[in-house]
Amino acid sequence: MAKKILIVDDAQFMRTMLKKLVEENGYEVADEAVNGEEAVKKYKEQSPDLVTMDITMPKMDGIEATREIMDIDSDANVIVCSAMGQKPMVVESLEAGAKDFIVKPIKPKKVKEALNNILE
Amino acid sequence: MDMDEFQEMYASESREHLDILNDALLTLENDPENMEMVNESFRAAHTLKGMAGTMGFDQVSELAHAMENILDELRNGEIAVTTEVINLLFRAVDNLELLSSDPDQVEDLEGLIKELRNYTGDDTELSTGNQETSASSNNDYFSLDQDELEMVEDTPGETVIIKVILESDCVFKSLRADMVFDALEELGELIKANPSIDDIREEKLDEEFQVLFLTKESKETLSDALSNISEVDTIEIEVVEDLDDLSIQQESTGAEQEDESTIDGAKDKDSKSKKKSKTQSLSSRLRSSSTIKVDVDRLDSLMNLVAELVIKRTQVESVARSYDLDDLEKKLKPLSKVTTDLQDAVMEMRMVPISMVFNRFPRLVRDLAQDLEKDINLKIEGEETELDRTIIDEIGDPLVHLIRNSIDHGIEPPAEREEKDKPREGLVKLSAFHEGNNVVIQIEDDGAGIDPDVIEEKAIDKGVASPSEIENMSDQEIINLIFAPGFSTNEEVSDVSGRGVGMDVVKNKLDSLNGSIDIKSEVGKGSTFTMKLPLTLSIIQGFLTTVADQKYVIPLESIQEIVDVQPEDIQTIRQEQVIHRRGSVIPLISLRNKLGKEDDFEEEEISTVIVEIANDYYGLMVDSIIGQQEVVIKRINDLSENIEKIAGGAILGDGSIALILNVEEITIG
Amino acid sequence: MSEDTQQMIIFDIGNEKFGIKITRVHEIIRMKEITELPDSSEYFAGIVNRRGDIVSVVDLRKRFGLEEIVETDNTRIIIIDFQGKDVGLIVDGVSEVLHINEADIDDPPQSMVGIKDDYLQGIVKVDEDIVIILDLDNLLESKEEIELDKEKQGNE
Repeated sequence: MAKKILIVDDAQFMRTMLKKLVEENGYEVADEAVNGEEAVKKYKEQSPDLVTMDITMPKMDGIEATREIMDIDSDANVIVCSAMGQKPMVVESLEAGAKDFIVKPIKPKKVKEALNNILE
Repeated sequence: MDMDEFQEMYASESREHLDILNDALLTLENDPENMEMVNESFRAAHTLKGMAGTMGFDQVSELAHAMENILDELRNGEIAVTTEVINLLFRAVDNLELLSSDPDQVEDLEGLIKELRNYTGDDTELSTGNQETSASSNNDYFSLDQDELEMVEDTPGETVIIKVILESDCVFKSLRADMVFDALEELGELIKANPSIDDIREEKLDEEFQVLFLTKESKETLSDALSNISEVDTIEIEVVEDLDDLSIQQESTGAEQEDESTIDGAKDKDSKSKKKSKTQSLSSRLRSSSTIKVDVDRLDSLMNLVAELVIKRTQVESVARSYDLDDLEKKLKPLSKVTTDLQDAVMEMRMVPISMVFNRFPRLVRDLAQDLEKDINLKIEGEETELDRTIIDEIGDPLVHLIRNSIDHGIEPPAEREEKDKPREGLVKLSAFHEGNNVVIQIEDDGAGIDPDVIEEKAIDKGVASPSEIENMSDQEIINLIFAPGFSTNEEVSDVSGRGVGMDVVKNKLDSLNGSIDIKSEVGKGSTFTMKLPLTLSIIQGFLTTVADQKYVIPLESIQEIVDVQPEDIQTIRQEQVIHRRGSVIPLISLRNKLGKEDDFEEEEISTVIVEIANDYYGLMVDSIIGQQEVVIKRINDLSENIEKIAGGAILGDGSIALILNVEEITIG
Repeated sequence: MSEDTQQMIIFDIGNEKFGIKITRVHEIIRMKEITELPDSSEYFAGIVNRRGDIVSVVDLRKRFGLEEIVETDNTRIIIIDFQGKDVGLIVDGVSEVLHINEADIDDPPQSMVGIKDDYLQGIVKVDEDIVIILDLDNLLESKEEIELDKEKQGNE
């Protein structure tokens, strides 16, 4: 069965792009969330195999959401999606338990690599 | 929005590197022996190349690459610093600037790149290749001090050198290196890294780094552990058989090694130490020593957090009010003051020194002086004066125009100046200082001054003013005519889509920034232009939303919270749609409806911004919410008198316009 | 105003040629994305971003009651000075810059292709064409509807 991925990003554009990439690489999109709060809620409901987590989001940011998800499931696989200037936030997310990161603008090759490294 | 942030980030960073290039080349021109400047420009070009490449700006990347090659040869002494090569490099810098600011003006790029390549006498890609391999081949040696050597000898297991090459488009190389270190830490003992761990943490590394590592694990285990890290391109693991292969650091080896076969290594060390001194020299030039550099993004996120805090505070305040909790309300007062102070403090942090703009002018003046065959001494004062960074962005063009004017029309040619008993060299003084809540910028020259008679003639000629009007004007009023529209418009409008830049444009710019400009001039002695600008622009925090494909900003101060309303939660009371929330009934307002758009938007959940106006709550239904953003309010010239619903406009990072909603008008009106 | 010749920017709207004194013109820019404002009057097209400044733009076609046409490569925004502020005028195209002799400008006829003489400063004959010189201040200030004479349009 295809591994399931939860896509978290407040931007529709990014979610669409990620969804396409996830599916192209043979994985399934479990669900999408538009902020950290929703991400945590949906993680509980779906227990996806992996989460792609945007950092800057309304309500709850990706770092906090990563922390909460790690509290729920210490084996959770979270990949944070950061912008170029967000190095400190990436560091924080990695400390919070994220397994990997991708930098926007996202490149298909990098997304594939990150997904495969964790899921294969 | 992230893309915008990213673009902006690229723009400001590349601006920084272009400034470094400009500065370094200028210094180099006057001091051709200054190798530090060559290195500095080389690194700037190299960084630009990389940044542009990541962004997919291939032209910028290629041009920077061509520059890098020339600079590399200058660095290696293969070619000499001549006016010719400096001019060529300046041209490249100019075009790099244009590529990002005004791509239409860029000259024939291929030609220029070819010219640059011809200059290196080598049109292959070799040079960068060299540069990269030189960085790698030197890494074969680690120098250990006595302690480290003892540690290697005393620890059981094998000593290996692990060479890691990251993918060339990897963005946060240091983080990848950190992930490598983390993975290794579980498998053995990390002795040393090359470049050093400190350098790596500061992103001072190319694609490649090496680790000297003590382990009991097999090569395969190590390799497996590392290959699961993203953006790692290759891993090479080599067992060190003989510890003598590792160089041992001694106090005085530096000089000798340079002459030996490890030239590459020595060179790299050399350039590394220079890199350090460069960072110091550069930062000390830009800022005083007691400051730290903060990433703009971090500042913005702090700003956002403060704004968030303000929202939360108002939420608590409204609860206190609705339940008549006087004590709580009283306790909240000081909190409210603290948050306001905090907001002010963050605003203050956005202030940047005006040197960010002034820094460009030595180059501009040099070029103009060369073109116009004038001798000019540019004096800059008060470059540490601080202004909000949004204003800094806006005043560049007007200043360029005024300086051009002073040099072109103000300063006389050297021969003429001698006749007038003035020094051959003309003086242009650029100064900035604070005055109350304003920043004053002056451009002063000791040139010919502005002759009212000449202005009068030109004004009549151009139809800006009639002879009878001028008759009643004082000299000062006549001089002020140069700001009238049409006065300095070009004689011929040849390219109908081209820019018309005149003094009137300068004045308009200052008006739009709520500033002012005036002139003092004395015939034969010179002129002084004085610009006054507010310290900060009117900036507001708001939530960027979309309604029928147009972006609107809802000011944060009125926002209580943002909710997704489910259709089943909506009730109709007296033909009004409402929702219940925390015990109160909140009327819903469709912004599509209010803004005269078709109200055919259907979604499962309706993004709704709850606002508070005069103690009443309203829910503004929007199509979607993009996120929190800080915008500069620009006035809209109200030609059509009924746009009360819009409080102003704001220009977003992608150049599009967002309209700022007048929430009061929308809810009550 | 002043004597002798003055330079005029000549632009087209529909089949008519119009002129504005060059001294009123700040610059001419290509058509840009226009942001509409709610509740604004019909001929007020909206606002544009001109190098970081917001400029209000009037659609002269609409001002003259002509039907909308698709913008072309020739469509331009002429930025003029109106009461000390920049205002853009959308025109079908800018054709040339002419030196026009003050003496050649005739008084406007009572009504010219449907435009009242309030909005006209004069007309001038250039070769075969009649160039209408607009009184911009009156034109922009007035809210009155104007309709370019359709018949005249057809005949041209």
